[in-house]
Amino acid sequence: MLIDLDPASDVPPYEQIRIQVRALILTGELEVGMRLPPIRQLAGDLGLAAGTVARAYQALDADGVVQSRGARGTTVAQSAASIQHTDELLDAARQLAATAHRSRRGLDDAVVALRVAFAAQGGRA
Amino acid sequence: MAYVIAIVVAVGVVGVVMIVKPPPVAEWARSRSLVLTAGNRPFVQRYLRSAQLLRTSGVVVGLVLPYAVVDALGLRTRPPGSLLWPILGYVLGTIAAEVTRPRLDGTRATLSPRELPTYVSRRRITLARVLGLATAGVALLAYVVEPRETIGILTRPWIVAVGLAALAAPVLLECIERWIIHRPQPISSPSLLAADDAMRSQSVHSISGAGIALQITLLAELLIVLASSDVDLLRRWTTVPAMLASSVAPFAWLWFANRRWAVRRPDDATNPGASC
Repeated sequence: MLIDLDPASDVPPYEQIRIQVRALILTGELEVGMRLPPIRQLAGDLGLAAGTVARAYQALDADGVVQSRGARGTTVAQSAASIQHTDELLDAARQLAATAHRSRRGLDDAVVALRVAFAAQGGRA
Repeated sequence: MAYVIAIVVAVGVVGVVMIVKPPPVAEWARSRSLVLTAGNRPFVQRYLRSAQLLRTSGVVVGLVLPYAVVDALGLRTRPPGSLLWPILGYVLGTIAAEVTRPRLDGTRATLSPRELPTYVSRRRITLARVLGLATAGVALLAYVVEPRETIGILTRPWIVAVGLAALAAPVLLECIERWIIHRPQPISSPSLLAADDAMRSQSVHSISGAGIALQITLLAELLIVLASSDVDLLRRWTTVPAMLASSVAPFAWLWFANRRWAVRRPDDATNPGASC
């Protein structure tokens, strides 16, 4: 299971790492509970600053894809299916935000619309 | 005279090494489940040659240098720790082989964490730690039992030094092993990654094998103290183990340093081999 860095790419290195880790989870190569290499190891191997890898891990953590547990390391927290569902929700949320923006409505209006739609589906608003 | 004997022994070792060449690359790779390719073969070949040369040089220097120092100081005694110095030379040779190994060039890296039990068996890691504690325990016993005056070098300060060395050596050697596996590993292809893993594993096995031999040597020195004590019970029960430990150490060194081991990363389908 290898990760590739393209030094000539316009995509920053931390983003390249983030994208590839997500892709490896989506293809099922990285499974829930598997440990990622320590920041120092990956940074040393790729010839990057530790801060760059830390930033990629933080972004993945913020996405809920991985879980950082300090000294116990970083583990995969989401399965491929879970990421796909999250991505679908994110796409729908982006569409809602774009529609609200076009009709000059604010976040509060969008949240109210979401609550109404959620209640109509029988979900907890 | 001792100096001359040491040189003769060293020349003998060099002769043996000249005859016994490094293991054929294909055989070495097969024993480690490494698939050789046109890309990784030159790296493996070069490592095996330089590792053999540097480790042997370390052993030879370890055999000669203590006698040279004792001779230069004009002391009329043999240097303490018969196997200690060649083992130390061997460890330094292994480190030199690892440091001088050409660094692979690439923009790829593995997403598997590199951990010591991937490169050497857990049983062996435990064995080294347990041997260290056991040797320190025997050192404590030897310290309590008054050594006979006639033993000369096996005095109480020497026993304390051996006990401390027995505690420190496994820690220090395990640190070196961890340093070896944590060195940066940039790669350009999976075959180079597999070869690099196999070479690291060989270096770790060499260090760990030397460490176990070192512990057995220290244990033997302490058992000799107990075997020469005034306590009948200790004399009866430690004489044979002392002789056994002394004679087993070099064989343990060779055996443990050259064990077959296939590096299997956690994401590999198969489990690690079971050799110790």
